[in-house]
Amino acid sequence: MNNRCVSRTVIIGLTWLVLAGVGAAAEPLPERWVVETIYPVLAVDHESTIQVRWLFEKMGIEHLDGRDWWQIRVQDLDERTPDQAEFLLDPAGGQIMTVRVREFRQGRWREYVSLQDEPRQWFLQPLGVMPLQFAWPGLEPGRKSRESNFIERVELGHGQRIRTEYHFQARRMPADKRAESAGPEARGDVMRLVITDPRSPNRSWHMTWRQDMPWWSECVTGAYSARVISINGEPVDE
Amino acid sequence: MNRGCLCLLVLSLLWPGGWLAADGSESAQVSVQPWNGFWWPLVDGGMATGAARRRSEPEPVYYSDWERFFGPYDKYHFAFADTPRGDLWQWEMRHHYDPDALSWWGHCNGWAAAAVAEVEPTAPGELNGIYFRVGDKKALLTELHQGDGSRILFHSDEDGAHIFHQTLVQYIRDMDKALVVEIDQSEEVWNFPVFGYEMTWTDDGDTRHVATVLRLGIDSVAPDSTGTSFMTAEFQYDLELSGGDIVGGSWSGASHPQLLWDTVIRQAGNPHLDVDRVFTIVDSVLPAAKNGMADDGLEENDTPAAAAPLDGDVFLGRLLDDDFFSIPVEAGEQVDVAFYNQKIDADSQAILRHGSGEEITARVVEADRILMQAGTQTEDDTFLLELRAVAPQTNRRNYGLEVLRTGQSYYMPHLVNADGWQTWLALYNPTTVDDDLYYHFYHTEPGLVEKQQYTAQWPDLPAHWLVTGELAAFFPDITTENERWLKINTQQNLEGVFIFEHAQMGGNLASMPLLAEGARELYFNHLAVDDIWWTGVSIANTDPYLPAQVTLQPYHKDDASPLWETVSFEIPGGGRFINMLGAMFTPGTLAQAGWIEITADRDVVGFELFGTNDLALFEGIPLQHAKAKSLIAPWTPLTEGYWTGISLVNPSGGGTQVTVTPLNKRGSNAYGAFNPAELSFQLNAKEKYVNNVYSMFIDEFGEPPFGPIAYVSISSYREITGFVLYGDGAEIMCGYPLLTLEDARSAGRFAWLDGLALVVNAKPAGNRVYVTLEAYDAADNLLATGQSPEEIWIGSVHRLDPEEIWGAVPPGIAYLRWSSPQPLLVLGEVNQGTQATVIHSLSD
Repeated sequence: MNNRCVSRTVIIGLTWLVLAGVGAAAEPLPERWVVETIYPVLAVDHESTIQVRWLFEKMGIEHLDGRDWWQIRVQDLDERTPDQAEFLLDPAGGQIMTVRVREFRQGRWREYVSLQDEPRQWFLQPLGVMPLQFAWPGLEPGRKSRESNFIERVELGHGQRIRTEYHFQARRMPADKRAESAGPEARGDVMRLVITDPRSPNRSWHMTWRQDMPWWSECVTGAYSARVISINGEPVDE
Repeated sequence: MNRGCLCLLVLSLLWPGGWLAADGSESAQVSVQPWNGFWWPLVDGGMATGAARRRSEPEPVYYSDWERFFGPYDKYHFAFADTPRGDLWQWEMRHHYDPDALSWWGHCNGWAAAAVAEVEPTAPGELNGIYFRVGDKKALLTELHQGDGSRILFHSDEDGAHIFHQTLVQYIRDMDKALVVEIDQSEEVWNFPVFGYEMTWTDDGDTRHVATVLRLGIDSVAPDSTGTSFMTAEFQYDLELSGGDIVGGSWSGASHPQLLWDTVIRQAGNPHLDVDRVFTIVDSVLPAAKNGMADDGLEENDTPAAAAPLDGDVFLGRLLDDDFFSIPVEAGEQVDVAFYNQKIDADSQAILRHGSGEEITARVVEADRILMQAGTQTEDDTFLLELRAVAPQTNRRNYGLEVLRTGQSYYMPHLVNADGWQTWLALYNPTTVDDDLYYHFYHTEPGLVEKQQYTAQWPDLPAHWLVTGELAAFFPDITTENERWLKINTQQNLEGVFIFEHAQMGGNLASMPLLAEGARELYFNHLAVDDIWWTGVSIANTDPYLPAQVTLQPYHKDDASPLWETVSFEIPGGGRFINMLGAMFTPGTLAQAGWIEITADRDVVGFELFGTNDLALFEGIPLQHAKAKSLIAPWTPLTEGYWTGISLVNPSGGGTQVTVTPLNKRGSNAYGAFNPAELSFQLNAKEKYVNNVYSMFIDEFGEPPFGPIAYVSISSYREITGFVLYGDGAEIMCGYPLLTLEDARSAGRFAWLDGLALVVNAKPAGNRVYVTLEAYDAADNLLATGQSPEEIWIGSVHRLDPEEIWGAVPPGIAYLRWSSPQPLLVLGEVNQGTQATVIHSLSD
């Protein structure tokens, strides 16, 4: 069993503002959603992709520091892989922490911590294969856009520490203007995020959020593209 | 070690940082090393063929203990009592075996993913009497991961070297997890599991020079080997420092890795590989020595009377006692039987006999097999193979059997000579060697296949002989019926044309080339079933012994979706299926269907026949399996009341962009060079495009100022297939499959038919030419000769009327020979006023 911490992250110089509540949803937030993730197949004889349907499911609630954290479990809906992840999600405050991943490789289980017990409003480099990138749009009701920078430091040991400064842009797309470009059907506004690493211009994360979801509805990175295809068992129309 | 690694190691010696004392270092290695294996190149198709080429070898090299012929997939099929060489084996031969593939194409991604995800097989096993080597188990695991989804962790196009650095440390040291590196910067792809690293660095101001040596698994060990040997690759990069933090990175050496990735999910490349079966094999062990040894799956076959039929022409067995096999053979086949006895420790004898009991004594004893040479068969027979265990085998290996059948087979999946129908045929030996022809007629009805033999007028065909006539002229004692088809076995190439005619029902012709090869995937490109039109299909099983499972899957003409109604049936060995589409599918399906994909688990041949219900119009097209990215419709007449339609089908799983260019008879764009017309459109996966040339261009672009349109060229990003249909709207309807430039020839022959004219397309020509037409009688005497009336320019198309060139068609003409100094595409248009068809040119 491998429980070693892999991401001793220290946040310094964070210019992020903790923004409460993106807008109270009229209905309870969904507690079960499926993220279809498209990965490349790196075979030389054909170009193709493969889809994995990751089921995100609320398993319980944990009370920490006066807040209710949802215990989310992620697993393959089709059970083609036994790998699982669990994390805590604050659906109201838009934070994530305690990301643990459990993978079955070479005939044994391996467990590791991908994010410590340290609340974050962004989490861009999850270890493992699942689409656990997270960045909260942070647009309170009425606010149309936000632009910011944030810095992540990762201790690698032996005196090595990597510091990455990200640029963050979020903008609201009102329901009546987004027309057909919004992707999955959403009630109300959607919010688009683009996060870039100025030192690696080709490196970016694109996310789409809708107001009635505690998780993004689309996420596109250089590694894969992912989108929510069902919510509480109901398919999401494109 | 591959080329990239060598290059990198040389560069490391030149890097100035190497001279400096290190300011820091770190190393890590995962606790369970990924296993070494083999990358199974596509040029060998080794999982099916058994070949195992070392990377450095230009030709297949068999490892000293390898079975040579029997690959892991043969064993897989026998272990589970599948049809030998079934879907798994066939798929691999079609998709993962290509002697012309790029030399570096292979299974390195599947091996690398399997090596980091699966436990290493370290011992051979046995399942249902089949012995599995370590190499067999590793091969199956490799294929089981060949289609894995990949989580890319570092991509050199997006990420700086510091991300590479960070990913290595986090995965290998912190997570104790191996990952995969794609190491080659050229177009080649070389994936390796990376399981350890040694980093050293020196700081120079705000720059940290890093040299990282990766420990990689080896992909070119003998398939059976186990062990912990590894190879290394070294990369240099500079990390940019700011305030002591690493804030960026760039490569300082000439080489750098392309990707770091991890496998997301196990997905076989070969869709017929079953994961549970693979792990049943991988988990198998050799029974303890005290346990009795399981015999093979064809026991009890210990006497001649109990001889087991050798289905599929291959077998893996055990010689614990005598084994007997029956092997059916057909006249015209050249048959050898190979007994691979090297791996078993029994003293054995192998005897091959004719059904009469006469022993076939010709044999060659090689290092790993005995080859019994029966030679060319002149009659249908059933051989008896006797394997005698002089001393029973005591080890757990298998012997192999393989029936090698050589020779050519040609197919005409429909013959008619009753109820007003007639078949006219031409057969031609294009080679310089006299050849014997063996005719096999199969009378087929539902539930019945009956072999027929008739006296042949042409039991042999001398070199370059072309013989023509009605069916009764070829087989004087043939009976009349419409329920038979014909297969011809030869040792040489044979070409031919068959023409169906029904003179009493308005009169019409439909021609079909003699089909030279079957396929497991055929495309039924045209269908029309309504108050006016009928469409029929004939499909013959090329295997005379084993049944073929066939499925017809229609696709929607509008959205290319698979229609729910499919038709599946079994065609017995030597059997033929024939029916009208209207009797096979519901009217609703036929109204929606654009085309039909035919799949079979054995090679089949066939054609479609269609016409109007009054038979005023009538034509046939072979069911197609050839595809191409560049196609030509060399004749698309639009003048004198003619119409031309084109049907294109994209049978692949991905969309493509198709461009159709209209050309005039000179080969120029019919709309001129300054304002050329081209029709481009998207053809989605499984989608069909059908339109008439007038609507495609004249409705779209107006009358062509440099027209009329005489032919079209077609290009596509993916391989597509298609055909052309044209007619006069009244009594003439002609069709032909689209051609490619590879179909061009410099000379050819047509069996003479009244009304024959040649359509000559000089698109493939390299210079302007005159075409010579010669008339010959049946004894090869030259009767008339002449040249095309005008020079034929590159790219132009001409319709040549032999009667005009010769002045008159000479009496006694048997065939027309055409020749040209340059390669041309040539079609024969037979227009007899009220009936017409298009025939392809035979070789010269």
